[in-house]
Amino acid sequence: MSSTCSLLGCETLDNRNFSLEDYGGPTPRWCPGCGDHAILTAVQRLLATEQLKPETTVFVSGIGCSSRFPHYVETYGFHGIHGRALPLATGIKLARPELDVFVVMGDGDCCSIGAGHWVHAIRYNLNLTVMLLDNNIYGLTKKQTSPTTPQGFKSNTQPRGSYLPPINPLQTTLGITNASFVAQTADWMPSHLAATLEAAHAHQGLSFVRILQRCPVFTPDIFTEAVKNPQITDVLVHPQGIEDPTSAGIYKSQITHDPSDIHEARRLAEACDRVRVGLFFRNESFPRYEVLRTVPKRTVEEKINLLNKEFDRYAI
Amino acid sequence: MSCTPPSDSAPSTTAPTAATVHTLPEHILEILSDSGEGAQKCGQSFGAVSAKMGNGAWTVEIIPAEIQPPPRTPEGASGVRIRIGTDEVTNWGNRTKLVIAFNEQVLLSRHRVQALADDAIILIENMWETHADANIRQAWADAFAELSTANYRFIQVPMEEECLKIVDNPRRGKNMFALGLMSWIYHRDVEKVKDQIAMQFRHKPKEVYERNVRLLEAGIAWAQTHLDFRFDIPTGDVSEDLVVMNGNTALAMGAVMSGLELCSMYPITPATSVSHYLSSIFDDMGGVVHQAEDEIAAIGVAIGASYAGKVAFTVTSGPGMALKTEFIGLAVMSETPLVIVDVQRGGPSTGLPTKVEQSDLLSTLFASPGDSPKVVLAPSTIEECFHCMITARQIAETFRAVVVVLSDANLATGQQPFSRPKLQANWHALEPNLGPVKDGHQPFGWDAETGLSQRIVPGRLGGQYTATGLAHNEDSHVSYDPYNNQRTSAMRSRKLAVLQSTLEPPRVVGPESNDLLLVGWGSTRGAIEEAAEKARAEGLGVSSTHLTFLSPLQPGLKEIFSRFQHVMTVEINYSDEADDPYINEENRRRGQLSWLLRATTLVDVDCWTRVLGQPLSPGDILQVIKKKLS
Amino acid sequence: MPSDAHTKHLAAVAKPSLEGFRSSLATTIAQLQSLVAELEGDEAARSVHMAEHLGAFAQGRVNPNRFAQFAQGQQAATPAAAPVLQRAIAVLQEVHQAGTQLTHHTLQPGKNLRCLLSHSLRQIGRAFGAARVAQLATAGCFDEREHAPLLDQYLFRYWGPEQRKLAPMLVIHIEDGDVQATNLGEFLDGAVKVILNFGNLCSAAPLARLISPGVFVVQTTDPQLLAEFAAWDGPGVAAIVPQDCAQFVHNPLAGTALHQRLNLLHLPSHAPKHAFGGLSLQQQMEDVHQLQVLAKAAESAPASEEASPARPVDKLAALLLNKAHLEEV
Repeated sequence: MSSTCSLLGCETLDNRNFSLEDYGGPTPRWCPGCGDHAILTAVQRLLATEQLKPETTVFVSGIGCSSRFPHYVETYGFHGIHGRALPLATGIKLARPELDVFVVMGDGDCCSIGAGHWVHAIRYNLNLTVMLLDNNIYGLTKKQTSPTTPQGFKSNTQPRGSYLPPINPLQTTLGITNASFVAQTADWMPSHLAATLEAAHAHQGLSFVRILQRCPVFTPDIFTEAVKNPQITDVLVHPQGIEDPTSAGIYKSQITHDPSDIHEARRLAEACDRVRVGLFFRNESFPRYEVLRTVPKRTVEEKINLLNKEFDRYAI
Repeated sequence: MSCTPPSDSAPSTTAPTAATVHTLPEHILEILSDSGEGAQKCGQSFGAVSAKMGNGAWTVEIIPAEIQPPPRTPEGASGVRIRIGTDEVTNWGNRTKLVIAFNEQVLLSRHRVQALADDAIILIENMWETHADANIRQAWADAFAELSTANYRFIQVPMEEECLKIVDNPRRGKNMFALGLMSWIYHRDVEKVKDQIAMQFRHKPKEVYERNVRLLEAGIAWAQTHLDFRFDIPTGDVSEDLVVMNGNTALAMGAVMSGLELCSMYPITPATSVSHYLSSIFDDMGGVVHQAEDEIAAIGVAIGASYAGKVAFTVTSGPGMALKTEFIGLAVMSETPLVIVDVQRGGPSTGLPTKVEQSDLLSTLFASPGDSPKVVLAPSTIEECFHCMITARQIAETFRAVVVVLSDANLATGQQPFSRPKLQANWHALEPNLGPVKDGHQPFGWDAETGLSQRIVPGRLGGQYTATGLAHNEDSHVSYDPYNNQRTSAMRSRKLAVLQSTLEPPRVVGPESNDLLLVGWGSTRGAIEEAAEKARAEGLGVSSTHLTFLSPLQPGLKEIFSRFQHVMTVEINYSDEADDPYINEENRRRGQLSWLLRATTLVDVDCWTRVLGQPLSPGDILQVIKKKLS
Repeated sequence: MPSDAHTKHLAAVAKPSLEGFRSSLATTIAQLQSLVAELEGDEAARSVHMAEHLGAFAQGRVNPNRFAQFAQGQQAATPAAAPVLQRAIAVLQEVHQAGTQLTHHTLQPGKNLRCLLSHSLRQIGRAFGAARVAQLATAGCFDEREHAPLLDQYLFRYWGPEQRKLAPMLVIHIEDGDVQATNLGEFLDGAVKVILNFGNLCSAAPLARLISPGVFVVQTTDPQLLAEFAAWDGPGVAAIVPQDCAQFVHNPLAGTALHQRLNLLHLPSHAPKHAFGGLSLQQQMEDVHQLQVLAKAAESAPASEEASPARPVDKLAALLLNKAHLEEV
C-alpha cells in the first residue's frame, strides 16, 4: 500500500540505545519449565541486538499458551483470535510496511484452525517473521491432540492414542508456492535459536521458523530424548545457512545442506527418527506481496480530481 | 396485428401508414434473453440513455443464478426491467407494459410470476416457431397455449434473420438490434445511444463499435417499418448535474472519497462487483483491493490494517457475514474501527445468491459471541450508497466502532440517476498522526460518561500496548476482574447511546398523525413512499417513515408511533402470516425490523414482508394498506 | 554556462518530485488548519466543520454540533495547542511557497558544493521540523524550550526514513566552485536525488567514486537520458557533463551484479589538463582510473557465473548485495 502522504506520519531518526530491559514486559505466566520462556528471551535478545524500536515493532498472535507472547514484550502487539494471527499481520504489514511485524503461533493456531491462512500467508510472502511454537499439544485448553501430536500419544480427546500420523509443518511449508525461508530450531538450543531468529528477521520475505517447544505439563516426554541426547540431532550447516559455532561442540552430527536446494530441503524435512534443525530453504528473489501491491500515494486533491474523472464517465 | 397468438399470424411486412404516438408520464419495459445474449447490457444502456435524456429511471436486473444456465429455459432468463418516467423514479413499479423477448421460454418465466401487465405488448423473436427441431416447435406451441390466458399483444420480430444480414453470430448482436427497437419505440436520442455504445466498447477495436451501431440502426429501421405505435415519455428538467450508476459502483466511489484505502474482500455475489469496480480504479488512487483467501481472512486483514492506521473496510454478503462474526467480536472488543459493507441477498444458507432480501438485520445486530454492540446503517437509494460510506467511516473513527452498511441486491445492481456529488476534501479521512503519546495516555482511557477513548496506532512513541480480544482494562492488560468486565461492557455499549444522542428523529412522509404508519428500511423506500402517496390520493390515512440508522435506532420512534392508529413495517424478509396454521400472536415470527421495533418501543408493530427474491412493488404495498385499513 | 535548453529540461525532470513534496505539504497544512479550526472555532464553526466531515448522508440525521463534542474528545490536543500549530503551519506554508527556490540552486565560483546541499536540505527540512512540532503539539507533549528550535532548522542527519524518501530532487547549476562530489555520499539515502548541471567545464569523471550498489549514478551529456534516473525511487546523483567527459549509467535496478548495473558509454580521450573545482590533475586521473577499473571488472565477469557465484570474491559481493536488501528499493 502507499505510505502516508502527510508529514505528520513521519518519524524521526534518533540515537536511542535499547537494552534488553527496554523490551521486557510483565512477568510471563507460563508454567515453570515451559519452552516459551527460552523463546521469549531469545526474541528479546534479538530485538536488542537489532536495536528495533519498540514503537515500530508489532507482535501478532492467535490464541493458545504461546499466543500470550505479545503481552510480554514491550512493543506494540495484537493478541487476536484462534488461528487468525496471519490475516491480522497481513493487514498490518499491508497498511504499514515500515513496521517490523512478528507473528507468534502455536501448532493448533497454525496447523489446525488457521491452516488455510498458513498456506496463503506463505504464498503472499510478506516481509514477516513467523514463529511456530510447536509443543505438539493443545496446552491452554488442557491436553487435546493437535495436528502435530505424535501418533499414539494419549490425550484427553484421543485417550487411546492419536489415531493418525502427525502433519509435518516443515514439509508442508516447503510444498507451498513462494515459500522463501523455512527453518527449524528448538527451545533447548539457545544459541541456535538466537542465530535462527536473527537470520529469519534479516530475511526479506516471510520467514517461517518452527521452534520445537517443550511443554513440561502435557508433553514432558516428547522431546526428552532430543534434549538429553544430542546425537539424535542433525544440524544443517552451510556458508549460506545459519551459523551457530557455539553449539557445534555439542551437536556433532552436521549435514552440509545448501539452502537454495529445494529438493534436498524437502527430503531432509521428511519425518524420521532424527531431529533436524537449521535452515532448510531460503530464496530472497521470490515476489513479495507488499512490494507488488505498492501503490502511489495520493493527496486528497489528487483523489478528488481522479474521482471526478470517474464521475464524468457516469455523468448525464 | 392484434393480440392473436403468433402461431396464427404472419408478421406484417408492410409499413404501417403512421405510428400512433402515446404520450405517457411513465412506462415499464423489460428485455429478456438467455444468459449470455446481452439483454442486461442492452437494458442498462437503455436505462442510462434515458437518464441522460432527463427521464427518471430505475433499472432492476433479472439474473439467473448460474453463469451459463441451459438455453431456452424459464430459469435461465436474464434481463432487465426498466421503469422510466417524466419525474423521478424511485422503484421498479408494478407490472411491465412492454417486453422484448429473445425466446418464448424466458418470457414464460416472467409470465408465471405475474410480472407482466395483462395488456402488455410483447415483441418476440419468431425463429423458434419454424425451427428445424420439432421439440423446439412443440415448446413454442406449448408456451403460447400457456400464455394465451393473458391478453398480451404479440408482435413477431425476425431478429435472427435481420441480424444475420450484419453479423455471422446473431447471438452476439441481437441485443443491439433490440436496443434499436427500444430506441425507436421510446424516441431515444440516437446520438446518445451511440455514445453509450462507444463507452461500452471503448477498449475494443473500432470495428466492434461500428458493427454494433449497424445493428442498432437495423433495429431502428425495422421498428420504423413495422410498428404502429410509439411511446413518448416527456423528459423533465435537468437543472443540476446528474450521474447514473448502480449502488455497488456508488459504494466503491464513496469508499474512495471517504479515504478508505484498503478493501479486503473475498468474492461473493452480489457484493463482488464493488471490488470489481474498485479494482479497476483503486491502485491509481492510492488504494489496495486485497482478495483474501477466505471471508475470515478478508475481515482479519481489514482489522489488522485498521489497527495499524487508517480505517479499512471489507465487503461481503450474508454467508460471508456469518463467517466473519468471530472477527467482528474481536474488532468490537479491541475497539478497532472498521467498516463492513453487507450487500444482502436471499437466505438462509446459499439461498438466492443473485436476488434481493433484507434478512441480515438481526444477524448483523446480534451474531457475534457475547455482547458486541455495533453501528448499523442502511442506505435507501443508490445516491445514499455513495454518501453513507463517508458517514460510516467517520463514525467508525470517532466511536472506535464497527460500522456495518447494509445494502442489498436491489441497490447493488439497479441503476438510478442522482445529483452528482460535489466532492469535498473534508469527506476524506485525515492521515494518522504518528507523533508521540503523552504520558498517561491509556489505549483504553474510557471516558466514564461516554465510553469514548483515544485510539493509539503503532509507530507512536511511548504508546506501546497489546490489543487483545480478552477482557482487558484501560491499559489493555488482560483482566478477569468481575467488576472490570461489567464496567467495560457498559463502556462499549454506552457508545451506541452516545451516538444516538447525536441523531435526529426520522422524517415522517405524509401527515404527522394518521391511521397507519408504514416503516421501512433500505432499498424499499421508493416503493413504500409511492404506495403511501397513492393511498393518500385515494383518501386513505397513511404516512410512512424510513429508517437509515438501525443501530442505534434514531430517537423519538415511540413518540412518532403513538400518533398513529397502526404501525406496520414493510420489509423484504420472512415473517409468518398472522392467519397461517399454528400461528398465533405469541409464536408469530415477524419481520426483522418489526421485531426490533417491538422490543425497543413496546409498540404493537405489525409487519408485511415478502421473500420473493424481487423488489417490492408499490401496487402490492397499496393492496396491503387497503387491507390493513379495511 | 549551462544552456537554457538544458536548464529547462532539468526543471521538467525535477518537477514531479517537487510537486509530490509540495502536495504532501499541502495535505499536512490542510490537516493542521482543519485541526486549528476545530480547536479555535466557536460552536457554530465547529458544527459546520463537523457537518462537512460527516457528509451528505448525515444531513438531517446526525446533529453535527452534538457529534462534534464527541469527535473533539478524540483529539489529545487542547485549544492551548492552537498557537503552536499556527506557527508550524506558517513554516510549512513558507516552505510550500518557496517552490523551486527550494530545489534549484546555482553554485557560485569559490563556493562549496557540500555546504550548498546541506543548506538546501536544511531549508527543506524545516517542513519536517514543523510537522514534528505539530505532532508534539497535537499529542499534548510540546515543550517550548526543547522543541521550538525545530521550527528554525532541522538538520538532514535527523531526518527519518520516510522523510528521506520524501525529499524533492535537487538541481544544482555549477558555474565553478568546490565540486568534490564524493562529499555528497552522506546525503545519498532514502530517495534523495541530486542533478549537477556542469557547464562547459568539468572534471573528467566527477561521480566515479560515488558508484555503490544502491545508488543510481549517471554521467551524461544528454539530459534526455534522465528519465530512468527520475523514475528510480532510491538515492541517486546525476551529472550533465560537457563532451569528452566520461559518460556512464549505473542503474541499481539493472541487476545485482556490477556488470549488469554499470554501462560505460564513453571514456575521455585525453588525460585531464586543468585542475577543476578543487580537484588536482592527479585526483581527476584517479576518478577516471576508478571508473576504468570498475568497467573492466564488469566486462570480465562471465555471464554464466551470474546464477551461482562460485569465486570467493563474487560470493562476497553476492553476500554484501544480499545484505543490502537491494530488491527492497
